Amino acid sequence: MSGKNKKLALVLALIFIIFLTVDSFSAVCVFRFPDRDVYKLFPKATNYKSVIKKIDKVTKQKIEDFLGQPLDADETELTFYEIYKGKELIGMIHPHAERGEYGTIEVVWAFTLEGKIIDFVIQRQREKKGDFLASKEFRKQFFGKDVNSPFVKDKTKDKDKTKEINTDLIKPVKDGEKGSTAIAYGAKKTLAFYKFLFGKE
Amino acid sequence: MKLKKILFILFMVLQFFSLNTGLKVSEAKNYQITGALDSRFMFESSDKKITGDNFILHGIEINFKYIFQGESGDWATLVLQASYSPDFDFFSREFNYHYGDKYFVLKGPKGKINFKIGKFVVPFGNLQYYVSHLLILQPMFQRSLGLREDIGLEINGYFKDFDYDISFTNGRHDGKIDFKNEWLFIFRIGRNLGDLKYGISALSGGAPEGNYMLGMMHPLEKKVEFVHKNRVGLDFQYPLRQATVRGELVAGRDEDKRVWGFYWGMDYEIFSKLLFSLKYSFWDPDKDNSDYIHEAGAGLDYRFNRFVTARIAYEKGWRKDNMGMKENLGLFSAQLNLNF
Repeated sequence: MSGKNKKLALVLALIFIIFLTVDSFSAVCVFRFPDRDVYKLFPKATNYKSVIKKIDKVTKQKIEDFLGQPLDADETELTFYEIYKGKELIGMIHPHAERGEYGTIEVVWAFTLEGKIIDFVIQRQREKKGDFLASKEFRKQFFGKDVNSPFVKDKTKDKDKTKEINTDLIKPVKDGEKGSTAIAYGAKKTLAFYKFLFGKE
Repeated sequence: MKLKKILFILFMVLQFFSLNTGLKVSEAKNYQITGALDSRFMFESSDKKITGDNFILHGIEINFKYIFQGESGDWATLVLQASYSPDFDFFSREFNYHYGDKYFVLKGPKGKINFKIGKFVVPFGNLQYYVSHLLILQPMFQRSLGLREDIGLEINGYFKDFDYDISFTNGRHDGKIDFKNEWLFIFRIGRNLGDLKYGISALSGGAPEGNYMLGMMHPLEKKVEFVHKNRVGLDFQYPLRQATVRGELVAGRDEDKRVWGFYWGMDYEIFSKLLFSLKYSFWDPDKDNSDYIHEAGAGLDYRFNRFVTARIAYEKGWRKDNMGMKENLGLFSAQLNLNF
């Protein structure tokens, strides 16, 4: 390798190391079909407004304390969608991704301005029990729940706060516990983002 | 000189990165700035030794997205991409296959009919949803269409479970407009059936002749000729457990030559950070002749975090031209991709 290439390799290696110090999972989720899913979740809606929120250090700390879990490395900027009927703001949407058994489960959450879940759609998943996770029977367990609902267990033997689904509140899909847990924790996280980023504390 | 350029670009990227990720306040905004840098080491089977030419900065892009909003919601979006490569000419095919998005989208009622104007990825086949521009293993557009991005107009939207795209573009591919060019018309209708995504496309008009060279296009490519093309295509994508399979079947005519081909690709998630990819494509540039291009590739994709992805891939191509001359080429690529 020539001297020039050695220098280039060195610079690339250095940048590589700098950027490597960040955690890996990506929870930030793109809203893939807004023009389709907004009107499924809010049939009376006429339009939506994208609101991009940057998370400052203080808010990040508040959210992490509330969840008892660190935020993912890329959760520095999140997009919410304000849902309008004419000029009237009628609800909110936020897409969020969590890891299931076979990869990322992307869920689009619809909730009221008070932060109560209306419904959700799964825009991408590859779970064995994916159809059951998307079924109304599973979804309706989330309806009306808010940020204070115990979606996940408060404690286990080892930890004070967990990501594990609280089966007293949400009955997981049979043979789809990991996917159910991902969705339950995603609900809590989404509503926590809304609470702290939109001043609903 | 090239090294200085690359170092300067890397320095600017780091500066930009530090500005863009600095946490300040929980503010609401209606714009986004993102970027990517794609650096590669490429070694062809015909290369005798490693030189500076084996290292390339394939491209750097900074994307600016601005959402126009009124009292009752979003009504338009502007996307501008600033892109540069010290290794490819701004008007070259390779550069314009991957970079240069600049468009304005005017939203219609409930997103059922939207208007797009500018330079964008043409909506033929799986290009409509498969974002491959930073990947090593590419689908079949170089052979089947001869372009990926073009300047023009597009109407797209949803109708019940179907999505549709109609585009009318200049057919030049290179970021220039030539009104003497025969324009290119594309229509695609697609549907999501559960997790299965599929669509039918049709294309007619002037477009660059297919790229029949094996390996990546070199900076000193020959002059591009334009031909009248007709195409129909079927495309699909299906995720199942750790795998995602996608395919495309295309047939049509280049002037009076009958052409056809297919592409098949698969990604398999070995674990959350590691992806294994395969691809195979076949293109017949003249069905009445015995010419062909076969291409196969395999690669690994390791996502260290949201900022760094490393990829390696080996591709092999076999080509026979209409004079019966055969050629084959192997290409090893290692890629370091930074996203910010």
